[in-house]
Amino acid sequence: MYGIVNKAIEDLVKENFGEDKWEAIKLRSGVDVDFFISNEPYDDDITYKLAGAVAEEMNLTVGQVLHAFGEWWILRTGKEKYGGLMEAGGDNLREFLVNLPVFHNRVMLIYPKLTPPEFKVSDVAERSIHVHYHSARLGLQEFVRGLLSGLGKMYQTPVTLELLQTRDTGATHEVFKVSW
Amino acid sequence: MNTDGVFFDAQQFNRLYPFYIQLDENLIIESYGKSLEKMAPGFKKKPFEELIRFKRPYLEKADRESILSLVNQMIVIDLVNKKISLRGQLEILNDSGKVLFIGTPWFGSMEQVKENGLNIHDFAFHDPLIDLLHVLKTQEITNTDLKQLLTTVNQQRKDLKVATKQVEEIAMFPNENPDPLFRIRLDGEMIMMNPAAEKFDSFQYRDKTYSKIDIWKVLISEIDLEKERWTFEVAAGDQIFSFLCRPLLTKGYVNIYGRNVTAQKQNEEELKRLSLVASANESGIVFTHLDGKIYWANKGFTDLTGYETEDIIGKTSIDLLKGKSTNKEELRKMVDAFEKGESFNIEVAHYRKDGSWFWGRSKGQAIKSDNGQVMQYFAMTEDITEEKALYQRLETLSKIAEDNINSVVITDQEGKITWVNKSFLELSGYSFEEVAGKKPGHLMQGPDTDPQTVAYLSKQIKAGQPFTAEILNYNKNKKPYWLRILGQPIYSSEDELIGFFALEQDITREHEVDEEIKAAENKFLISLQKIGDNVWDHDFRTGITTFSKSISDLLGIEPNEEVTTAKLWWESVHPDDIAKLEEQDRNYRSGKSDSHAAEYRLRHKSDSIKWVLDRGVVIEKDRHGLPLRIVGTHTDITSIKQTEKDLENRVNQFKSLSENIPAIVYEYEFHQDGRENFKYVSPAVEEIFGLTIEEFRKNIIHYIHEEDRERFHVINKAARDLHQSFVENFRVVIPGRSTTWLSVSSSFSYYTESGSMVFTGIISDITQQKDLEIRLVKAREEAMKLARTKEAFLANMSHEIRTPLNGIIGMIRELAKMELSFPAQQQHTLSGHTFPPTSKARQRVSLPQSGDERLRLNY
Repeated sequence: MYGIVNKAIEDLVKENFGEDKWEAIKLRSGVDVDFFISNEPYDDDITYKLAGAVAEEMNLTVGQVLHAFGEWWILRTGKEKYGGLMEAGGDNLREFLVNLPVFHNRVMLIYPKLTPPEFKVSDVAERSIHVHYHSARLGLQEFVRGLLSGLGKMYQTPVTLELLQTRDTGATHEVFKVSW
Repeated sequence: MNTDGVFFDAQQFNRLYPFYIQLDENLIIESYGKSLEKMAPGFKKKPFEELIRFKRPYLEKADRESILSLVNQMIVIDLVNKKISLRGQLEILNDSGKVLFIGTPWFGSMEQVKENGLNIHDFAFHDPLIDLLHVLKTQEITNTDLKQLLTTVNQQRKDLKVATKQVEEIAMFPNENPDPLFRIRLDGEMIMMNPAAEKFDSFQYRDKTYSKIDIWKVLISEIDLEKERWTFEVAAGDQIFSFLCRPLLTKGYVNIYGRNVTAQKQNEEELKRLSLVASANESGIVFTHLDGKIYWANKGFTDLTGYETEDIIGKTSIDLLKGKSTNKEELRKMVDAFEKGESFNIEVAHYRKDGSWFWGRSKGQAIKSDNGQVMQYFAMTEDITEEKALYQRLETLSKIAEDNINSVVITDQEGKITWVNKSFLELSGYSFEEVAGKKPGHLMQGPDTDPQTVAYLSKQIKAGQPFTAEILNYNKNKKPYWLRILGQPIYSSEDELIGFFALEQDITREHEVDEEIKAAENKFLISLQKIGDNVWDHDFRTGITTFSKSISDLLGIEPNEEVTTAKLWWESVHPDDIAKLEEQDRNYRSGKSDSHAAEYRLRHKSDSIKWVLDRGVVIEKDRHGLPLRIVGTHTDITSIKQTEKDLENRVNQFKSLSENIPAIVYEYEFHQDGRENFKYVSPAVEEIFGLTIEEFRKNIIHYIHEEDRERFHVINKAARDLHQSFVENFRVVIPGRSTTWLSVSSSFSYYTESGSMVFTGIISDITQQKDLEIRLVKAREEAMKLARTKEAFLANMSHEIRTPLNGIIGMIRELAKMELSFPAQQQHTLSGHTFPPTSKARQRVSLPQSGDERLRLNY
């Protein structure tokens, strides 16, 4: 994954729990990278280790950590670093979610070394939409949930999320129904 | 321009969208842009799905309907078999149902553009890709620079972290150091100290107390800043600190490193004391390193082994002591213990430098540090040769005690039996269980045991003293037997009485013999007394001398209560002889003599002198050979002494006579082997013959006149063979002299110790007599005639007188015997036969008339 992901985790920890905690987490994870470069790819393993270490250090589940991280990604990373881009994604949540696949496809083009997930939308209704999540990676389902939740917060539109299908139960991909 | 539509010709369209793809209603590629054709020629009329894949969004099926669903969004397509992606969008041409893709390749770099055979002119002017690539390139360069910077920064940060850690660790040294550290300026101002140093308030230096700030101002004046290091000691309370000063002139300060040396000082003192003790120790003491090599040895060790110190240092004990008789297993034990850091104690033959050896006991132990680490070894070797010998002797003694034919008893300090040997059990008839813990006396004394002896033994045992006694004991069957007991107290090495050792000898038989001897002795004493000797008996133990009979005969006085016989005796000894007695007494007491025989004088009360023969012999000795008892006799030899004196006078008289008479006195010796010679010749020989004694002895026989020589031999033979005495006259012819007549009178005198026979005799010169004799013969012959006449007359006269005279004398004697009874007297007178005169009487009657006395010499 790109350094920006790890950087986002770092910022999340530092912001909420302080530098020392981050050092403790890094020490725990065994990751010895002082500075993540955003558009430089790093081994996925680093990200998983960091997430694991945060969970252990914070006494949370990895799922909880990923969820928090997903929100953080949208609300802080996206907004701060790609503010314009995010805002260009749509005027409201529904628009953003509809544009999400194109948005992501563009990201894919920007980061040629990325193995990005792919989003699709279907069942677009007035107050709900189905978001399809395709990924080669496993275990990031809660991250996606965090992302969607974060988007709701970004657009100040409280959302409820419903996992319609998941690879955990044999489906080809995850489908979330986002309602607001 | 028409508001209903914008129309371009093919050329214009190609200029605007050089990468377009137009599909017919069957999704066959109808036409495509010139720039795309450059990269992928020959696409025309070919089915879309053979050449193109939809990358985004993902399509499960590439049918017309699916493709149409992608209108109105961004799509990414890949050219099959080419690593080229194009991004763009799809549009449906409403009237024809054809599908138009408008897009442009998505390259990451200008290099990729070139690789695909394109250049900047293959892109429409409105297409920002080339410019984006330029921006990207610039960004990349910036990024690369930043990355390099980051790498550098990261590296520096890493280095910094390491350095920080190092600094922290280095800082730990002084901070965590329990010893005080100071840094002072060259003017003595303290500029830094570690936490340990902060704990101190003051130091004592040369009997003065300084604060920890001020002391440096004193010391800086003493520090030689040119020297690399400099040490001094200060006290802080009861602790002693050694400070090492290290001037760093270039830095402008002095580092001072303190160290608590209290323990070290104490250790040094201790070590000094130990060294002194170790040096003075007679045992050999060595200290070794962990590898066993000796680095210190005391004098005891060099004395013991004969090695010099330089021979020893760097060697192991085994190198030094090992030899032929050294037990290898014991050595192995030592080495094993050594390797395990355990202590050892071995006894082996230790060889000296000169090859001799001694029994050595080596004890060693590891010296460990506080954390149990073995630091070095300490070993002590002592010469136990004597101890070993003692042990072996002890073993032998034990065996001897057990097997001794005499009884051996060992008791505790109260005299209760703790051990006895076989002989004791056999003699007493008891078993060990019956005697153990009992006192021998209680068990074995009986009705006839002498209570005095029992009291004596009891007293000695109570006092812890040795004892010797003869005692009557009783065995289990109450049969008495005599024992001679020799007891010795046993003291521990701490001089504490721990028991007694007693050797008991069965002397029953000896006692019987003694009794017999005593009886015999008594008989002997009585005999001696009977023959008149005084028998005396002196006991050295009591100093008492007893006499068998009164000595009043010898001394004329009786002893009384004040003056004992012995004292009286000594006081009566003649002052000139007392030294003899005293010397004899000394010789006895020192063991020099066992017997004596001395003659000395005693003063009798009447002031006369009595001679006594004093003889004595030691009859009892102690174990050192010194006399305990002497028995002797006193014999009164006053008369013998007188006789001896008379004899001596006579000898002297005789000697004087023999030397003064005009004759030669001689002794002639006949040896058993046939030789014969003069043994003694008196000095008159020179006067008489003018010969030396030697010449006389040698030659006198040869000088005998030849006519007399045969007669001499006959007479000499008779003397030798028959002890016959003789008186003979011989002539001798001494050269240069006229013939001399000798008268030799000789008789057997005595035998010598060798069995020779000695004749003594007198030789006188009778030459003048002989001449006279010859002259007398003639005168004699003339006188004979007259004599014969006279004799006849006297004979007749004699006969005539004798007969009546006999009658008268006989009658008178008979009358003298009778009670004046006359008839009986008469009768005897008449018998007339009593005491006829002898012919000798007759001769005496006639001799006075023969006239010349000299004639008698011839009878």
